[in-house]
Formats: sequence, structure tokens, C-alpha cells
Amino acid sequence: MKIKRSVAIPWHIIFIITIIILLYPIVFALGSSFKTLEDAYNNVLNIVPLNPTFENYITFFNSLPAFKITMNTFIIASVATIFKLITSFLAAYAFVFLQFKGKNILYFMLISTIFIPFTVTMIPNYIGYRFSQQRLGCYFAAACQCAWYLSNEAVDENNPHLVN
Amino acid sequence: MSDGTVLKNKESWKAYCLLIPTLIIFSIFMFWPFLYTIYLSFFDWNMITPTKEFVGLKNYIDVLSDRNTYKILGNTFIYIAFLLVINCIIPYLFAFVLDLILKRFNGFYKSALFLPAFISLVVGSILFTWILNPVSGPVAIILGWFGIEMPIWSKLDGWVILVLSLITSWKVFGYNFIVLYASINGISREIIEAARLDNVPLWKIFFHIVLPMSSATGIYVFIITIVQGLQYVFTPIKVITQGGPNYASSNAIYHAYHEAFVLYRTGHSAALSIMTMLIFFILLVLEFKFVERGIYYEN
Repeated sequence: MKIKRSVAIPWHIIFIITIIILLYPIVFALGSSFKTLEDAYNNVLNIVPLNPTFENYITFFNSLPAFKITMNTFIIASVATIFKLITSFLAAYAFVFLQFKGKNILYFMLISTIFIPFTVTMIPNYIGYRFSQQRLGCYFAAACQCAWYLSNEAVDENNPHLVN
Repeated sequence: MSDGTVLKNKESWKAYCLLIPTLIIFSIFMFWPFLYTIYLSFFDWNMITPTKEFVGLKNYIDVLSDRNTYKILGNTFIYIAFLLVINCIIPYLFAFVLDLILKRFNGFYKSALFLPAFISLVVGSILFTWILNPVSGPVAIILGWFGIEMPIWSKLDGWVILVLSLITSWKVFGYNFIVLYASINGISREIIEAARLDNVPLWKIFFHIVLPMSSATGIYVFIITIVQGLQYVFTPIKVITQGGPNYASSNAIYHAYHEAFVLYRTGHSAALSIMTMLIFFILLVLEFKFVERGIYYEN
């Protein structure tokens, strides 16, 4: 089936414009990361830096515990992934292949948690987090609270353990 | 009949074992906190004092009699409206166009549109505050060439909601688009080809074939846009405006956080969260009542 060119070409243009808008911030960040501060302020529109410099990267690695931060991110992400995969595989198998009492109710309970906004569980989780931080050590707490931690500045302000 | 029950009992035992890990995690991080939040919504507490004071329904009354609450609920619905247009309707259209109209560069378009979904929204928000800076940002400079002055969006009601929704969409758009594309791509080609042979116009194909046949995924994206979208918006609000100016960019989710971790009024926060959840729940019931009936499930 042929599509008329007069239909396809405007859509190509729309797609390309959308993609430029979506990718611009990424390119902008990449370009700016190699600029000196002066260059970044004076030539905002130039994506390619005039005098490429690694200064920013050097400052970053010297002023922040970059390795530690990356490791924390990695630990949080992998623990969350592993837990999710294990639990949801087992549960999904049970729901698909087995018959048991209360199947529908349990299924409904698990599914309906999608509709619980994180604010509903936020305060008790924070209290639980504080508690487990004191009693169980930081990595357990950090791993368990990962999703919530990412959206919550209060945690890393109050808990320096996560950063150092 | 009795054979079936025996089998069922045997299987029950197995099924419960498989469900235990999920249930433990959900009980610790979902069900218990949920009940505890309901409990907290009847108490006056600031997360620090060892005693909580029982105040009955006072927190709910306080929240309902606060004029800011209504402003914030209004904002929440404006956010929902913007997010539905940008993250549900437009991706639907794009997925349809990419599948049926565009035959070249398909792979490139798909991956390029999906790319921002990999990047943290915190990073995106910081980049956008720079890019959209109304005085020195690149967008303002380009608009300046055409003699257009960029509004100081972070200080204006309405504008701030639109811009924050757009920033959120930057991340969410690609994911919704890919999900919808997969669904539209799965529709049997024969039906569409037959319609094309009969010279059915494209918009009719969209409304009468593609939309009904991909509606199961469509409704998923619709719900995700409302429920997750509001929670995603939290990030740019937190990073860029902190709910300001004068609560103009705050939504129900952010305000609950604000009450709990900035003002330390857990009671208000809990009451507001519970009410937000009820609103979501009402939306959900309406959705099931009016939309789910017309949905086509392949299996």
C-alpha cells in the first residue's frame, strides 16, 4: 500500500522537529560539560565548545566521592531489580498456572497498589527507614527504600551514611 | 468434583509459597504503611515528639477548610489535563503515524524518541531550568530574534504548570510512545490493508480500527499517565519551584510531601494523601464504568 508523499513528508518533518527538541537537552549538557564557565555563559547557543576543556570533569572527580556515588546508585538499582524480578516472577507464575483460594482478591490487592500514590506510604516508610537505619545498618535500609529515596531529598540530608 | 477440590488444595499450598516473597515485601512497604498513614491522619504529630495527640477528624476538616487545598486540587486537575494531552493523545497519534504512514527511518525515530526515558528526571529538570531560563537561556535568545519576549514562566500561574508538565513529558513521552507503538504494530495487517484497498481515509482507520483494537494498551497508558504522571511531576516541582509561587505549581502529591517534610504536620499530610488516593480511586471506578466496557481484549 502506497502512502502519498504529500502525507508522509510533513510527518517526517514533525518527527524530526520533535526529536530535535527531545534530544537538545542531552546534546546541550554534553557540549556544556566541555566548556569553561565563561564560554558556557557567553556562547549559550554554541553547542560545540570553543576551547574544549576537561576542567569540569577534573573538578567533579576531585570535589565529590564519584566512585562512592556511582556504587550507591548501582547497588540501589541492582537490588531493586533483583527483588522485583524474583518476587514478580514467582507471583506471576502462581497467578497464571495455579488455582487457589482467594486468588481474585489477592490479585486485586496487588494490582490496586498501582493507584496508591507514594505520598500515602511516604511517612511510615520514612519512619521505618529511620528505625532500620539505627538498628539494621545503612545498606539494608538504603536498598529497601530505594524508590522512595530517589524522590526524596530529606533522606540524604538526614542520613549522611548514604553519601559517605 | 471431589478430585478437583483435592487438586485445588494441593495447588493452594504451592501457590501460597510462591506468593510469600511478594506478600512480605508488599506488607512491609505497602500495606502496613498504608494502614499506618490512615492511623496518622487522625493524630496531630510532627514526627519528632514521642507522643501523638488524637484529634479525630480535625486534620480532614483543616485540610478541607484551607483555601490552598482547593487551589492545589485545581492545579492537580490542570496537570492531569496537560499530561493527558502531551503523554497520551500525542504519543497515540505518533505511534499510529509511525506504524502506518512513515516507512523510512522507523528504527531511528523509535530509538531517538525513547532516548530521554533513560535519563533521570532530576538531571532533566536541572538542564531545563538552564535551557528555559527566560533571560539568558538558548530558547529565550532564539525567541528574542523574532522579537518575542519569553514569559518568566516560573513566576506566573498557569505557565509554570504547563512548563513543568512539558519537562515531565520529556521523560515520559518516549515510554508511552513505545508501549502504544508495540500495541498498534500488533494489530493484524489484513484488516488495515483491506480498509486501505477500499480507500478508507486515514483518520477513519485510526478511529474505527486502530483505536478500538489497541484500546487495552491505550487504557493502560491512560491510567499510567494520570497516576504515575502526577508522581513524576513531583520531581521537577521539587527541583525547580518547590511548589511556588504561592502554591501555583503545587499538586496534591507535592503538597502532601510539603506538609510532611517541610512543615512537619504529618496529620495534614496523611489526611491529604488519603483524600488524593480517594480521588484516584473515583477516577478509576469511573474509568471502569464507562471506558472498560468498550475495550477489546485479544485473549
